[in-house]
This record gives sequence, structure tokens and C-alpha cells, in this order.
Amino acid sequence: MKYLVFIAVASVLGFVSTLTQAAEIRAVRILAGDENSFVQKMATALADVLRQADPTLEVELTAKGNAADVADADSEKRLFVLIGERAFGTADTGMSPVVALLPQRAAVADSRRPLVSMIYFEQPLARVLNLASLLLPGRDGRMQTVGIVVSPEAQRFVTAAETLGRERKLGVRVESVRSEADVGRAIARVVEEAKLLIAVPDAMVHNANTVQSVLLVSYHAGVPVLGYSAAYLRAGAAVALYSTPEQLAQQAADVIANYRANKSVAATQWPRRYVVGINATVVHSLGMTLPDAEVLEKKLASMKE
Amino acid sequence: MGSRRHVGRRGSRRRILLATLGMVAACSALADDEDVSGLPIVLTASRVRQSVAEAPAAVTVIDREMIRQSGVRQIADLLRFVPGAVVGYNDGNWPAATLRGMSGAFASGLQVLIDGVSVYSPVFGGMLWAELPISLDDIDHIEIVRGPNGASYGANSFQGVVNIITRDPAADDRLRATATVGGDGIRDGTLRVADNHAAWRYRATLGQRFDEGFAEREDAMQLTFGNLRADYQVDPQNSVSAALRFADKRKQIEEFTRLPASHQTGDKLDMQLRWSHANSTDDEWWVQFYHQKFSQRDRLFIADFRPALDPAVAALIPFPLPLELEQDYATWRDGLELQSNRRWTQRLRTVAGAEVRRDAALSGRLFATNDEQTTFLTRVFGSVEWIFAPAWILNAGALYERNSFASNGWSPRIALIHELMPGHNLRVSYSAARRTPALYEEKANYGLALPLPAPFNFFPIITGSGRADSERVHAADVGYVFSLPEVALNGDVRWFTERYTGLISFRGQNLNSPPFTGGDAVNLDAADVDGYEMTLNWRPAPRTYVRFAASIANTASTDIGTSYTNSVPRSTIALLVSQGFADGWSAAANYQRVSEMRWTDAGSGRLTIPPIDHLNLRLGKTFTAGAYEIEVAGVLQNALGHYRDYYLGPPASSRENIARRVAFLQVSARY
Repeated sequence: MKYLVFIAVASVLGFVSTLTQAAEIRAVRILAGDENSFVQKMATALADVLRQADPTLEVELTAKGNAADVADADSEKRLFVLIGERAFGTADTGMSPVVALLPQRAAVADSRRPLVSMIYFEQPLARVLNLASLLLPGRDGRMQTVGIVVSPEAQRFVTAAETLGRERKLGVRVESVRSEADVGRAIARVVEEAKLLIAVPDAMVHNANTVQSVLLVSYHAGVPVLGYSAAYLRAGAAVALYSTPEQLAQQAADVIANYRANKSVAATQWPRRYVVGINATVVHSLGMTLPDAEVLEKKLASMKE
Repeated sequence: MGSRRHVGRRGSRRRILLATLGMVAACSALADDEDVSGLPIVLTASRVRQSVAEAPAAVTVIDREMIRQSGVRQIADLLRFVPGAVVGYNDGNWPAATLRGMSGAFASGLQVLIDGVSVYSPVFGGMLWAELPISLDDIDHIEIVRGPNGASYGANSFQGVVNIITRDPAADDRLRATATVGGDGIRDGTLRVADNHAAWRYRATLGQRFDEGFAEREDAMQLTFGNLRADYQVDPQNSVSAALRFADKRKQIEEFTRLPASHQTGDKLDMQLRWSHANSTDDEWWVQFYHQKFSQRDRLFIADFRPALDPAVAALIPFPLPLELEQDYATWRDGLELQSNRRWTQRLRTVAGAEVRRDAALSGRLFATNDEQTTFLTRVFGSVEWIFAPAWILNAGALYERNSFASNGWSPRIALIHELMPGHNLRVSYSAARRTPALYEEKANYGLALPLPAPFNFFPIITGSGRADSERVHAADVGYVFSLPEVALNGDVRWFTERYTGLISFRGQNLNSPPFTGGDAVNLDAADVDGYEMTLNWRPAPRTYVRFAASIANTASTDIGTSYTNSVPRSTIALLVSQGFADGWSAAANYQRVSEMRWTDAGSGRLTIPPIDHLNLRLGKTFTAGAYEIEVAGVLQNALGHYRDYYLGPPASSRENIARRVAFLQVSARY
């Protein structure tokens, strides 16, 4: 009992101290592990946005730096932004508040760090299914089916898929694979029934080797792929829903601004801004007629998630 | 023979190699250095099919489902799906196919490609359909462009282009085995494996096809074939694809009626290698090299040739006439192609390319010399697709070709496409094409040598002078392509007109009085064909498919050297109905009717064969056994009974070309 009281008090104190720290942030240190250009671009974009918004704020960008860093005396006045899985996992930020941008699978709550907010790279499944329902208008009330292929670890992110799908008049068929070699055949089974294949970020199912099978098998079955990145769109996905590094950086900047102004900030956030990309040649070739990307974005924004 | 041949080949090979280096260097300079993050460009321009509604010409697509339900064993039989096409059998294992008529067993107005590389015979300019080194299973789909299409594929795309596209290893079953057994000695088998490891993808197929052909003829054939295709993703933008194909055939051929059949053996080896670079779906270039070689041995020793002669002539010869007939030949083809697909703006796309090719043939018998006969061709082509106003597309293209035989020339094409409303497109087009004479038409020099005193020791059949020029065609069409998804119906209707000039015939054979002369290829005839074609695809229920194609054609021709007028069927109908049932059962009926017509080399004066009704019936059941999917199918070909194919019966010809009902069972297992 005493133990519980102690923890409760400590948390409240921690929370309160975070609050008092809030107004005093003088420096932001952005750490992006040496991962890929997506992460690098986000770091650079965030640095630019922060400097422009408040020239008095000291912004330090350790784009390719070693993420292990020692906190110093000014730790309460400094806020860390950790971008990417590697930075989040290895950086030592001491007691400084942290804003993290990272993939969903790496988002593990770390009680040692005062986390201001975690912003995911991926889109919420509800939003993806909203877009799917726009791409596949149901005919005569007949439910259209979408397909998703996942590996066992990514399966937990699609558990609600069937329920979410039903709410949007979509049947969702989820197929699980245990190894990379099974991906081609799983896609072939799914596209027999599904009219759209949704690609959910999953290192086993969607990587440089498997993406050939994913796109070719579905293309030959006349089934479009809804991808999750600009790279997927370029590879041949008919449509993609993703947030650009600049959009995610802007969201992080907004979080920091709110924090500094003592406004409340959600502990975990999905991307607020996003882009719908269309590969016109592939769409055309599949015989689909789609409205412009901007029209889809507007419709999507008005839909409930 | 040996040294002269090799020097010639080395010289042209060097030319081709320098050309490649030049082209590759030029293309690297055009490369985009945009940052791409890891994923390869999979759906490149060459893999993405242009929508049929926006194509500048009439296109027929034969997909895997149609192939499966068709009940065919030979690839040529798939062309029955095309409106206006006729498929006939010169003998039980020698199919001939034409998209318009006006052809014989060596139909040379059709460009046939496998994965973009031309596979028609350099010697005869025709297509040895029964010897294609691929199985029906290897085919992903076939795209047929109907009508002259010189602007994209050059000479020989006279009546149209048939592009056989093989399955991508990345989209294939791991293992597939098929066995077919049936009447007429049918024994077929294929085994295919496909796999991928990291950035490698490959598929290997091995197969054989055997049957005894027509009952009354000696025309059995065994084909053993194999092909290997391997793709490697070098980095996100660059990939390499290689294909190797071989075929070995053994066939009985009846050269002369009333004499024993000869045994023909042949083997072929094809290879193609392609390097592709793609920055995006809309921006791709590739370079391709191909090499094909084929050799055929055809020897027949006849103890006494007299029975094959006219009885009056035979009576004059009191002693037996031994004869060794030899018709060996070998051909080689080497080529290098480059193509670039690029989208410049949302409204403008271009395709441009160049090709250099060398064809060679060696046949002492056919050319009366042991020197290699060669022909060299160079072509450059380009086309532009421009959306110049909303719902309006202008597609213009041209090809320029230089070759050894015929005059250099342009083949242009222009098409205007208008979207009347979503799903309904109207197309108006004009195109021109040329058919370059084949080696056989230009340089053949052969006849029959008999052990008799001169001048009766040699009867010339063909004495080619090399003077024949290309055949030409100008065509126009108006097409309407529609899609009504609410009723699951799509299709197209088309009116066309084709004006042929300079059609080649062999003339001037004189065997009546010495000096005997053989026939020579001359540009002699003109023909005008016009008519209508229609195709409908309907899926009234999820497992029901109905496909209907029909054509009507009117032909008028000078008919001096060859009777073209009645070589074009007045009408054709093709109907495929397939229905899937519960528990994996499916049934299909594949019907074609061709009205009376004649094949131009069928002899018998100018008489036509009567209309032919051809029907295949198929019943299949699929079921799963563990991780395997098994299908068992029974097929009845020519269900409507027998008919005379290709030739009229006696007394016009004693060749009993009678196609009868034949049934076979096919079992295939997939993993």
C-alpha cells in the first residue's frame, strides 16, 4: 500500500516537474539514427521548421550522430526529439523530455524517460480502410473484400481489421505467413477473393525481394495494391497513403510548441497530415477510374476514424 | 563453308557489339539520379499493359483462364479466339494460322514474338507453330494486335502481331506437373519449377508433346522442349532477365503422296538477354540481345520415284528411278534492340527504339550453294501518345527500316481516340506496313534432281532472282471499345479496310519444254479486304464466362498469281462458354466456325474447302491434396465430328487430311 502511494506521488511530482519544465525549453536536440533517408529528411525538416518558428530556440541536429549521448546540467531546459527506431532504442536522454517519431512496432513505453509524445510513422488502420472504401465503392450493397497479408509479429496490428472493415462495409481477409518464401502464394490466395490488396508495413511481407511477388501476382490478377509509402507507389502500388517526412516533422514541431505553451499533448499520436498518391499508369492499366488525389484527400479528411 | 561463314559472322558481331556499347553509354547519360529508397520498380512500363480502350489499334488478349478452358494442346489453336483468324492443319502436326486469310502453310504476314523477341523463321518468313519451345502453362497471356502494325514491330507485322508473354517467375507456382494421355497416341508431359532467392527469380520448364496426327497420314511428331528464365534485381532500378529455350523435334513428313514419309529431325536453341533500367513506372529503358539457331535434317531415300510421277510420264521410264531427297537447312538469327518508354508530362508519353538484326540460312538444297545466305536489317521506331484535350488522345508513330532485300521504307501509324463517356471510347486509325520477302522468296534455287539424261536430270521448282520487293498494305479502321461494369460486359466493335499491293506469287515455272525454269517470286497482285469485327466478354455470374467474337469480310482481288479472293473467309464466329460449379467442377465449350475459304498453297485449282465447325468440350475438377492443388480434366476435341482440313479430298489431292474427334485426359498438380 505504501509502495503504491509512493509511486503515485512520484508520478504526480514527475508530471508536475515536467509541466514546470515545459515553459523553459531553450534547446531542442534532434537525434536521428543513421537509418535511411526518410529519417534523415524528417530530422532536417524539423530543424528548419523549429528554427523558422522561433529563432531564439537553440536547435541542434545530430543527424548521423552516435545516439548515445550524455545529458548535462542543462537537461531540464533541453528537449530531445528521437527520430527512428535506432535513436529511440539507444539514445540516453537522461531526464530531459522526449518527443519520439518512430514506427509502431518500436513504440515501447519507457517509464525511465519523460515521454512527451510518440508519433507513429504509419497510418491508423481505420484511415487506410476509409481510403479503401473510397477506392472500392460497393455495388448494389454488395460488400467488397480487401486483403491483407501479415507476418506473425505484424498480426497484432490488424486484429481489429475485420471489425473496422465491417463498419465501412468492407470484408477484410487477413492471411498470415510464416516465412518470406510463402508470401507469393499467400498473395495469390488472397487476390482470388479480394478486390484490393492493402500493404501494411511488415518487414517480412514487404521488402525489396518480396515486393516483386506482391505487385506482380496482384497485378496479374487485376487487383490494385494500396501501399504505405512513396517508394511503394513508385514500385507499382496503384495508390498509396503515407505521410511525408515534412508532414511528420511539422506535427512534431506542433507538439513541441504546444508543450512549451503548457498545453496538453496526447501521449501517442497518429500522423495528422498525409498524402494520397496515385500511380496513374498502373491505375489506368487496371481499368480503374479514380478521382484526383486531392479529391480523395479531402474526402478522407472528412471521414471518421 | 566453314571459314567463309565465320569471318562474315565476326564482322557483323563486332558491329553489333559497338552498337550496344554506344546505346548503353547514351542511356546512362539520361539516367535520373533521384534518390530511391530500396524498393525495386516492379511495374515498369513494359510490364504494365496498356488499357485496350486507349490502344491505337484493335487488340485481343487471350488470358490464362481462356487458355485453360480452351481444350487446346497446340498454341496455334489459341488463335481461333481472334475474330477473322483461321487455324488449319497442313498435316496432323503442322498447324498454320492466319489473322486474315490470304496465307498458306508458310504464312508470313504475321509477326510472332515471345516476350518481345521475334520467332518466325528467317528462311520461310513463316511460323513453325508446332515447334515453339514453350508449354501452354508457361504462357501468362497473349496479346494480338489485329491489323498492320508496322510502326511498332516492323516488317512482318503485316496482318498483325502475336506477342506471347511468358509468366513472370515472381508470380509463379513453385512446382507444376502436367500429364496428358489420349487418343491418336497423345502423350504429353511438362514439369515446371519456379523459385526465388533474395534478388534472384527463376523458372525452368521441361516438357514433351507427342501424337500420331491424322489417322490416314504419316505425320506423327514428337517435340521435346525446355526453357529457363531467370531474373535478377541488380539494384532498385536495374534488373537483368535471361531466357534460354530449346526444342528437339522428330517428325514424319509426307513430301509426296504415294511415297513413304520422310523423317525430319530438328533442333533449336534460342536465347535472349535483357537489361532494364526503370526510374519509375513511367520512365524505363531496356537493351536486349538475342540469338536463335535452328537446324533441320530431312532425308529420304526413295528406291523408285516413278509412282510419284504422272502415270503417263512414269510409263515412259522402263527402269527404277532411285532418288535421295535431302532438304536440310540451318538458320541463325542475332539481334540487338533498345527501347525507351518515357512519360514527359501528365499528357505526353513516348516510346522509342532501335533494332539491328542479322538473319542467316544455310541450305545446299534450297539455295543451290553451300554459302550462307544472309540478310541484315536495321530499324528505328518511335511513337507519341498525346492527350491534347480532355478525353482526346492522339497516338502517332512511325518505323523506318532498311534491309538487304527490299527498298527502305516508312511504316507510319496514326490514331485518334476519344472518350465519349467513361467506359466508352471511339478510335479512328490509319496504318501502313510492309512485308519483306523471306529468304526463300528472294534467293531459293532448288528443284528435283533425277538420274536421267540431261535436260531431264534437273527439274527446277524455284529459281529466285531476288527482284521481289516488299508487299505493302494500307489500312484504316474505326473502332468502338466499351465497358459496362454494371452488367459485367465489355467488348469492342470495329469496321476495317485493308488495301494490299505487291502481293508475291511464284510465276514462270516451265517444265513443258527445255530449258526448264523454276518459278520466281514476283509482286503481282492487289487485294482489298474490308469488313467488321466484334468481340464481347460477359460475366453474368461470378463463375460464368461467355466470350463471343465474330467477323465479316469482303474481299476483292486481282487474283492473277494466287486466288486471294476466296482465301479470306466471309465470316468467322468464335464462342467460348465456361461455367464453374461447386466443389471445384468446371465445364467449357469452345466453338469456332469459319466459312468456306482456301489456303493459298492447298493446290486444287481455286476451289474452297467447305465451312468448318470446330468444337472443343472440357470438363474439369480441381481439388486440394495437402499443399497441392490438383486438376483433372477431360477434353473432347472436334466434338462435332470429322471434317477435311486444309485440302480438298481426292481426286484433287489424295492427302486425307481428316480431323477427327479425339479425347484426352489431363492431370496437373500445382504446389
